[in-house]
Order: sequence, then structure tokens, then C-alpha cells
Amino acid sequence: MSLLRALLALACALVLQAGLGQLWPGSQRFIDVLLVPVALYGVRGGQRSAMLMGCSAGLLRDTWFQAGLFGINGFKRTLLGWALGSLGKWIDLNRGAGRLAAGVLVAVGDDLLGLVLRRLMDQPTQFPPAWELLVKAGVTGLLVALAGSILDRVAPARPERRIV
Amino acid sequence: MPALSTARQNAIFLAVLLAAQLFLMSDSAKRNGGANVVESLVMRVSWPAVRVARLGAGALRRGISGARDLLAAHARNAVLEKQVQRLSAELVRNREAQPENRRLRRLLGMREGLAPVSIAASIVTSNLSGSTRVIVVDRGRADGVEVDLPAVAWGGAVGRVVAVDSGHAKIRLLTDANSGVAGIAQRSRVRGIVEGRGATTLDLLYVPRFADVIHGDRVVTSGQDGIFPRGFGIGRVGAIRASADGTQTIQLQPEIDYSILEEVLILLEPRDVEFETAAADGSGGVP
Repeated sequence: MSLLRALLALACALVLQAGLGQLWPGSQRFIDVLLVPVALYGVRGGQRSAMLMGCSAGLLRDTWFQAGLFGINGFKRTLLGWALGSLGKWIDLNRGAGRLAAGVLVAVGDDLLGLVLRRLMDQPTQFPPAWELLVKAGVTGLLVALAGSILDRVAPARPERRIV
Repeated sequence: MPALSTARQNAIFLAVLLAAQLFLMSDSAKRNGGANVVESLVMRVSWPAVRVARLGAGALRRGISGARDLLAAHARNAVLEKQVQRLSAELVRNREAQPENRRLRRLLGMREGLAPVSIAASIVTSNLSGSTRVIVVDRGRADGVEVDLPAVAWGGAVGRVVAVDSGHAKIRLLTDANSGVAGIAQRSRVRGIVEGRGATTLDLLYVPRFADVIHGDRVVTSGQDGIFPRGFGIGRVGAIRASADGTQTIQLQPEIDYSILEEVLILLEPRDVEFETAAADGSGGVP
């Protein structure tokens, strides 16, 4: 059931991302819907499911929206899923403001990690302007908060034990 | 044997996933084009979702443009009716000229249909932001598409195929930061290398400082890169600035507006034919 839910989340994100790209080709500068399930699984689910979600979402991005190093987005997002899953163990991010912050963190982390990895691999790097990154982070945060609140109604999360 | 703690299990899981992605990255770097097994698999599995997005977006776009067109249709109707009358008369004249034309061509021993063998492909997904500028189209190996084939559209060169699956191909656009194509100024025949910058403009590099290139010059493919045939439009010269190495860097405004591109033509063969394309103002030419 949880696998089906994860696949559905990925499919929805891919449909939205591809659809947006068709309607508004420049939208990927500001909106990366494939980051939303990574952030949501990071704040809602366990660390391992967040990593798997990050890996799958990243590979989807590598396949449909990226040329060049195949796997770079999968690498970035697996790390992001792991980091957010670790953070989610210590701090309860699974609420409105927490989800917003998780979305912002994931968006900024994705671009920063991309920059570092490309530098390390001698690939051409281009960091987006600060305002673009801010808009992307804000939009991702809002999308994560919105998707989280929809999920709360459709499929409430199981209470988890917190270390702190 | 003591059971591993959850934290350690997760760390091992992370390490395995990261190692797998590193392997994929190194494999794709070694391949330098062509889709690997994982990419083909992901493409095949996720294709239904992309298809839904494509159909949905297409329907929405058609709905919006249909409503907009309907509003404008009344005003344009009268103008178009007059045009139809004029064109009908022209068509009759052209039909009469066709047999004569064919006869004369045969007399001159000219080949009819110099157009390259090409295949039309619809854009499935696109990424036109950041340093990566790429589109995925709905034609693949099954249609004869291969890595390194050029893609063009009305107006000029679009990009080059960098990965192919059985039903899809990934095309790196000229504006991608990793793109490069040999170009030539159509007026002065000055040659250079056109490189993408991951932006909306292109750069024409390695042009001698005193070469005859002026604002507005049209740059087309020179055919020397072994990918694009000669004569496909690349862009028009914008800003020109001198470089420290005795050359000048020339900014080009691409002839193709990638943001409104919906279909491309992938040239299957031949590669060694020259095509002088028309400028984007539609004054005739190939394609």
C-alpha cells in the first residue's frame, strides 16, 4: 500500500512537472515539483523511504529533464532525502511551517549540491541568481505545505516516535 | 550475530544508493551519449505519466487558444476571405505551371526533392532553464533515430540527439552549456564555433578580431562539425566584444524560439548536403 502511494506521488509529481513544462517552458527555473515528494517523505516518513523517494525522483528528473551526467539528480536527492529524514527524527517538521521550511531547504540544498557536484566533476556550472533561487525555494515550500495538508486529509500520517 | 541498529542500516542503505548513482554517473560520462539501461527503463516505466501530462497540457493549450481564436476570428474573417479568393486564383495558375515545371526539370536533369530524409517528432518534455537545455521527443531507435543526429525546425538548427531509447530521443539544444556547433556568417563567410551558454543567447567564438561581422548578420551551420549539414540558421549577431586572445566573442540571438517549439525534424540522412534555410521571416527555403 505504501509502495503504491509512493508510486502515485511520483507519478503525480511527474505529470505536473511535464505538464507545466509543456504549458510554460521556462517554469523549471521556479518550480520543481519532483522535489515535493522528497520533502514530504522526509518530514512524514522514515529516513529510508525519503532516500528511496529522493533517488527515484532524481532519476526521473535525470531521464526527462536533464542531459549530461545521468544520475546526478538521483545522487543529490538521495542525500537530501537522507538529510531531511535525519532532521525529521529530531525536529517535528510535519506541520505547516515545518513543511514550508523543509521545502525551502530542499530547493536550496538541491541547487547547492548540484553546483558542488558539477564543480567536482569539471562540468559547466551556473548558479541561478539569488532572486530566482528565492522564488524557487518559496514556491517549493508552499507546494510542500499544500501537498502535506492535502495528504493530511486523504491519508493521515502515523504518529512516530521522536528521539527528542 | 548482533542485529544492526536502524541508524547503521540506514547508513548502509544510503551508501549503497549513492554508490549506485555514482556508478551511473561514471557510466554516462564514459558513454558520452546514448541512454543506459537504467535510463531506458525509467523512461519506459514513466512514459504513461508523461503521456498523460502531454495530452492534458495539449488539451488545455488547445482550449485556451481555441477560446482566444474564437474571439479574434470575427475580425479576421473578412480579411481571410479576401486572401482565400486571391490564393485560389494563384493556385489555379500554379497548377497550370506544374506540368511545365516538371518537364523543364527533367530537361535540365535536376533532382527533384533535394530535401533530406527526416522524421518529424513531437516534443514530450522540455527543460529550458539553467545550464541544461534539453527536450525529449517521441521518436526513438525504432524510428531510425540515433545519437548525434541533428534536429532542426522551421528557421534553423535546434540541437543534437544525445540519448536514444526505443521510443524516445533526448535532444540537447544549441543553447545548452555543453553544446557546440560550427557556424559561418552568411554574408562575409567568417567561420567560428557557436557555443551555448545555458542562457537564451549563444556565443560565436574564435572569430578573428578584425573579421567582417556586423550587428544583424545571419550565422548558419558550416557543416564542419560533422553533425549538422551546411546552411541551417543558427542566429543573428547581437553584441560584439573583443576578447583578450585577439579574437572577438559575438553574441547571437537564436533564430529558433525554443519556448514555442512543439515539433522538430530529425535529419536521418544525408549529412553532406547544403541547405540554405530561409530566415525566420518565412521567405521560403528548406526546411
